[in-house]
Amino acid sequence: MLVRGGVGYALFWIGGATLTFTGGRYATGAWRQQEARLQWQEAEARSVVAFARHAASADARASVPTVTGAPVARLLIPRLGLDEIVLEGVDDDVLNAGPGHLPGSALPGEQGNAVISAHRDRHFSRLSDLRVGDTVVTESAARRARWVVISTHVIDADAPALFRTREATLTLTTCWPIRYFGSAPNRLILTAKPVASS
Amino acid sequence: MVRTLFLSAALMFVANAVGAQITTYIAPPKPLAPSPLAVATADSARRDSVAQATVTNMKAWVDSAAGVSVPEHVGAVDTALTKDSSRAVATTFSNGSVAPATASNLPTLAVVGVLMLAIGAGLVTTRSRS
Repeated sequence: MLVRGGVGYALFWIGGATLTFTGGRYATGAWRQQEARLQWQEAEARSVVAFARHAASADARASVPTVTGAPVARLLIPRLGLDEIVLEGVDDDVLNAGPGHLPGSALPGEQGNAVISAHRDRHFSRLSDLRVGDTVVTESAARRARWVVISTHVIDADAPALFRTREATLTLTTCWPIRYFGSAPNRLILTAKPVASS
Repeated sequence: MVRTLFLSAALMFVANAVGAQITTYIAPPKPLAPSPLAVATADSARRDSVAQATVTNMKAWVDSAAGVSVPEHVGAVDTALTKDSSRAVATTFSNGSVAPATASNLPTLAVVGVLMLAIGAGLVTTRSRS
C-alpha cells in the first residue's frame, strides 16, 4: 500500500512537472511571437516614416536585421487564417516562437529560394490543408509579395529538399505526418512562385 | 556302393547349379588419387560457400568479384557519415540540403505528462479510499 502511494505521488509530481515544462515552452513561444510582432510593427512604422521623409532607398530596404531570432518577414496564408511574424534562424528557441527563416536562403520576394520552416504542432499545424493554387502573401523589408502554391510533396527527413533557384521561390517546410506521436520521420515541402510583388 | 555312386552324381548336378549362382569375386578398383585440378575446384567451392555466409556488403562483394576497384568501407559507414553531414547543414541553406529539423517533442511530452498525472492521481486516490 505504501509503495503504491509512493509510486502514485511520484507519477503525479513528475507528470505535473512535465506538463508545466511543456506549457511553459508554449507560453514562452507565444510571448516571444508577440514581442516579434511588436518589433515588426515598429519597423514598419519606421519604414513608413522613412518613406514619408523621402529617405527610403534601396539600402534602407536591404537593411534587414539578420540576427538570430530577429523578425525578418511577415507570412500570411489567407486560406488557413495564418498571420505570423517570421524570425531569423531555425533553432529550437526560434521555432518555438514562430516560423523561422533558414539562414543563407533568400528573403521572401528576393531572387532565389526563400525557405521558411515551422513546427507542425504550432504555426504550421494546418499547412497540409494548403492546396496547389492557394495564395500566400509575404512582407519583408518593405517588399510585399504574393505567391501561388505550385507543388506539395512529402519526403524523407534525410532526403535533399532545398535547392538554389534563379527566380524567386518560396519554400515552406514542416514535419510530417502532422498528427504523429514522437519525432516525425518525414517533411512536408510546399513550393510557391510569385504572382505579383510591390 | 550304389549309395556312393548316387551321392557323386548328386554332387555333380548340384555343383553345376551352385556354380551358376556363385560368380567370381571381383575386387572394386582402388580409388585413384585425386587430381590437383579436382582438389582446387572443391576447395574453391568450399571457400565460396563460407564467403556467402559472411559477406554483408553485397555491392562491394559483387564489384570486387567483377574486378571493379572499390574503395574500402563503402557501405554503412559512408552512408552514416552522409546522413550526419546532411543533418549538420540543415541549420543553414545550401544547395541540396535537407529540410530544417522541425521535429518537436513537446506534444509527446504533453501526452506523457497527462498520462502520468492521471495514473498518479488514480493511484493516490484509490490508496486513500482503501
